[in-house]
Amino acid sequence: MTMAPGLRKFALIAHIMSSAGLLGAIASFLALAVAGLNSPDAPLVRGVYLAMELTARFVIVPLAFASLLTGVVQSPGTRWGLFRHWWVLMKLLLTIFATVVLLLKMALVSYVAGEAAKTPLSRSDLRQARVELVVHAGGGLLVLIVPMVLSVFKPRGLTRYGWRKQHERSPVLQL
Amino acid sequence: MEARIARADKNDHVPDPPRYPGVPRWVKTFGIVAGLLILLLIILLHAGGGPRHDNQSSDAGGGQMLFEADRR
Repeated sequence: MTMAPGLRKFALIAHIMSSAGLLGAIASFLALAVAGLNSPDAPLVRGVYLAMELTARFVIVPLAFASLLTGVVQSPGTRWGLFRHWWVLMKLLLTIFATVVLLLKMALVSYVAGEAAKTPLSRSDLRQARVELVVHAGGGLLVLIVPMVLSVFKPRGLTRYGWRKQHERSPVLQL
Repeated sequence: MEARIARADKNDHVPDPPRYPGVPRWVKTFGIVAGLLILLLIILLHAGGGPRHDNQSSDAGGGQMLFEADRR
């Protein structure tokens, strides 16, 4: 599949923007989660959990889907393909994994935000759920740093599919 | 010209494609580390008891969950 250079650049910019934006948004989410867990200031804690829900719903989830979609659309237009190289495949799997976990944890984010909106939370209230938010935000951040590193280093290695495709083309090239 | 084509035909045999060299070492290492981390996470979640998630409804934000045991 070939893509016009202008369109390819546009898709690449969209992919980089959404991926870097996602990383930044999760870092902010983690900062809020830590503040919400440790702060003794009840109004601050309330504001933190409400902000976390808004950030998750209107920034993190859309950016996660944008990152996934732009990656899937853009990669077949490059020489790397989507399933030909292990590093691209790894990036795809990690982004899918992170997006699925994020969607599963949205209920937890909404629940804590809802409780925080109803009543002031003391430091011990919903402790386990609040710790879980910190752990998942930290884990999500680590999981999404790996695709960034893979994109920079592009480690060698063809998948079996990539290998087959490469050697399907080579007899033609030899003639 | 014809002689050259005939010679090319005689010598032209498509070699067997080389065998797939296998999954790179970094992918295997990555898989093992990821597997161990997931296993560790599962063990920690189970050992810690984990919050009880009782989905009662499925509103826009996901199900409402009960963490009443967690609330002191």
